[in-house]
Amino acid sequence: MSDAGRIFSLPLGVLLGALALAGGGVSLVPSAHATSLATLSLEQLVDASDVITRGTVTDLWADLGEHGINTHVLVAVDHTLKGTPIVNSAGQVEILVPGGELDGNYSLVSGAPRYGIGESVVLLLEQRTDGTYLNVGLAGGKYTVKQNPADATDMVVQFAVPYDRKWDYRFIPNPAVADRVSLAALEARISARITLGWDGQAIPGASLEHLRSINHLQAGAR
Amino acid sequence: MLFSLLLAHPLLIQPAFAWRHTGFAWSPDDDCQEYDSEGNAVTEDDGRLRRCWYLDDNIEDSLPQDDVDGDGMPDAQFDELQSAWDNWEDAAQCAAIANEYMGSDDFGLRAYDGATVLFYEDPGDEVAVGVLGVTYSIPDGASVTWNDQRYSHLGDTDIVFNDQVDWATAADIDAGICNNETSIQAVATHEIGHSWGLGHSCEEHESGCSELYTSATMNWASGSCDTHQDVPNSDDVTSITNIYGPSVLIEGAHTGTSDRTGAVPWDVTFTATVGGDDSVVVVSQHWNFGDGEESDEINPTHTYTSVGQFSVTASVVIESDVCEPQTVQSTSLGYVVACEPPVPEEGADGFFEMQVLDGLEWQTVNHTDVSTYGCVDTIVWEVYKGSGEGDISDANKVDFNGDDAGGDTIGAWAPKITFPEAGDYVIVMNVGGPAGLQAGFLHVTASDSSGGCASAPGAAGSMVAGLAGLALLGRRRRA
Repeated sequence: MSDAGRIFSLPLGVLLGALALAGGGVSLVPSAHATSLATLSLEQLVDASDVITRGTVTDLWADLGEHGINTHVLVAVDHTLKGTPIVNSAGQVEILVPGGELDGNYSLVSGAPRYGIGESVVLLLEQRTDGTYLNVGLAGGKYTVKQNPADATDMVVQFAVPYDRKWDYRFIPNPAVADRVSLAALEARISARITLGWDGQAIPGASLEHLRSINHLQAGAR
Repeated sequence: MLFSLLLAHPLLIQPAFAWRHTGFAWSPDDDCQEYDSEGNAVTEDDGRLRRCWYLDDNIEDSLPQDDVDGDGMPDAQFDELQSAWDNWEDAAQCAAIANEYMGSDDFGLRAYDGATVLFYEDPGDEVAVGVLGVTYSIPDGASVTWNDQRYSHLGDTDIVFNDQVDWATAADIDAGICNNETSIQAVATHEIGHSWGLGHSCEEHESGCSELYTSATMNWASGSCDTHQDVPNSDDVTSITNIYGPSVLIEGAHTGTSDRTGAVPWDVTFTATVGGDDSVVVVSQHWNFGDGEESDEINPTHTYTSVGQFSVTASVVIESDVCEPQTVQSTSLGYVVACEPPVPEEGADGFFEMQVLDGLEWQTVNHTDVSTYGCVDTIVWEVYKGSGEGDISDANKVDFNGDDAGGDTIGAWAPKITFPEAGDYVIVMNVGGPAGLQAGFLHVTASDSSGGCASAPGAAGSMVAGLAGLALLGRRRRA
């Protein structure tokens, strides 16, 4: 690039087109799966979760599924707040994230969580029939644990950048001091909800039968 | 050259608009017509790109079940979706788009068949809790050009609504008949926007989204008993018009370090160009650079002097035969990230400190300011045996993993460090971003027993080969 300057007007379509040409085949061209999400409270996310666990991301890979590229995330479980996670012999749960990068081709999924190896996380998970998990509410069901520099304790952060921006969990901005939530406070709130139980109200995307099967009802709830 | 650049740095290139299209679009050849038995087009060719759509025949029992026309499909189930398609045409009159309903059938599982099918069920059990709807957009490997912009050509889109959601009609919600249900028309309008090629105006947990974007139909979320997303707002209209109508494109030319990032003071020359019909004429431009400065200049140059992520808006008034007799005001928006070399966060005494946890185990506490995402993108820690800057050499670098392949580096943000044995150590942190690198050190004395001490470096200066940073002013803290 010369000193004449850089131009940053290129739309993503140009990029994707180039990648598609590089891929050379229909099966691996980039795709986009775009979602509309319900705004769920933490309590609803807890109620809808089969498993809530804390752990560290140990591996990531992508493959081509029936409907496009998926990313698989292995998380070494540190401890579990709700449910009994299905783990492999190394004590890791497998998260399936729609979209990802495979051999230079991309599948972009708006709203999907993004992970990095080494990232410490709190996950609210929905179990799939094959024993892997989805994040409840996509990115809403994932917290990154990072150091609060004010006191060197762990805090939790949810942060996103558009799918076309590079993402690195290590450089997530710290929330304002007044807005910081400690890991301990989040876990306490989750545990309190589990103890209190489900309020019997519908949660978009979860059947009432399933909610009954994974929660106990609050006293007086129907 | 351009092609290789794209392949080499795919993640650094972003669309120029805050409204984001997915990079996909239909082509004029995808115009869909319904034909009668004699092969004559039923609908008049009005020059619009007409998308045909189909409806899977699964019955959604949470919607009203009235079937006045007796076609076996509850009327609301179709009517809400037809309204959702029409909402885009009504709102974005300068976008040459149209839709044609082709009928209902049992489509079974979603398939790559080139037909846009809407499902009131989740045939592949792919939709997670909390997800209201998903649009699956699959390009076919070809490209299509609209307004001089190249897009990946869509080969197929399908829309799946979560069958575990209680839906309501817009009429019922507007009449106050709603108990936490979700507007199927609002979600359908959003998903149909995706099927035209639009992305989200704002993502969940994304910072810096103004109300314009969070109130848009293409915002990431839809609330219960809320129909406001039935009607695309100005950002939505601009988005779809920029693909299928007269477009305005913001470009930024600069000498920064990456496509949207530069070091302050940072000069960026902005231009607004229009595409589409040859009759498009720019009447005026108004620029908001996002840092409190504005301009009515044509293609102005602006100097960013403060650090931050700034949204750039250009309001461009154009006149076009496409939309005669209307005058179209297009507002496009992008962002730039203005950076300085890494600094400690406000109130901190230095970039990092060390806390002893237990004997040889210490915790780094990282005070680097990361308030502007993108201004810090590199961190490397190194540990050396010794007590001062003069001990920083390869010979003294600590080998943590025991592979005898030289000293190790640590890439974590704030790692725990376990020293191999009691003694004096120098901890070096290198932190960098697009505006530059900083490096510095702290001396600690580790002991086998609980306790130990840390001390600030004695002098400032460049300590690591290749880095022109300052010494970090570490801070002592005892556990």
